Amino acid sequence: MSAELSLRLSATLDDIAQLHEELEAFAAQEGWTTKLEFEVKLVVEELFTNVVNYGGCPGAPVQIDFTSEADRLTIEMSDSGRAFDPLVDTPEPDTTSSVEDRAIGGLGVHLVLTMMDKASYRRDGDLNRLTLVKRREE
Amino acid sequence: MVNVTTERIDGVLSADVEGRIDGSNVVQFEEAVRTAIEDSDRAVIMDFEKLVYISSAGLRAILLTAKSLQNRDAKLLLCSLSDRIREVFEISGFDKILPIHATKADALDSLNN
Repeated sequence: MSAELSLRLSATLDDIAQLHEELEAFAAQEGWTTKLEFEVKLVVEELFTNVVNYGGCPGAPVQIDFTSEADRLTIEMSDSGRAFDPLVDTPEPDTTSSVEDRAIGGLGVHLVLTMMDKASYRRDGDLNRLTLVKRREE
Repeated sequence: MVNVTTERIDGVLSADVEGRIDGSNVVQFEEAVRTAIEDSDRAVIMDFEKLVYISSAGLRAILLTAKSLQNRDAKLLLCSLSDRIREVFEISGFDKILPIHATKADALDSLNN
């Protein structure tokens, strides 16, 4: 048994609210744990925000497809921004220095890689395509 | 949606944050906190008991608040984090730079001892 959710958003920060609302409804329908729901919302917001901030085409469509199965969740995200692999091209965040010295930013991708079991990127024609897999623990 | 309710306890600003802090509303959160803080506040306690979600956009706002308080020797403390919120702080290493207390009373006690 699997269920799918397909979202087509515009690359604007305002659409994050819609993203969260749609995911809340899907999580309730699919019986996700609150932990899974939280992590998926966070991971997708972080990657979506990267597209908004660094994709170079504000307002362009961003397609996000979720496939929820008994043992795993697969997330596929594509956008037509400039070629950018966030999994490689993002600097390692600063997670150790003090308040004064701590650099701001770079945390989003670190959260993604920590919370997901698999993450991969490929450039497909004019599209950036990210695929994420999260195993379900329950 | 995010709501910030503040009160002043003995020169300490207590800010109860309710709802979620994400990239679409982080500006409201920053604005609410910035306008509430006065130069005379010796510390700010953010109470996250009713905070259900935070992304790195929110962490960034919290770090900026901590930096600006530190510039004048004031402190930022956090309390009442849910397991989910705590996980985000731990992965980001924010639990190492900001004092996190179980309750607001504990946070206030730490300032007065």
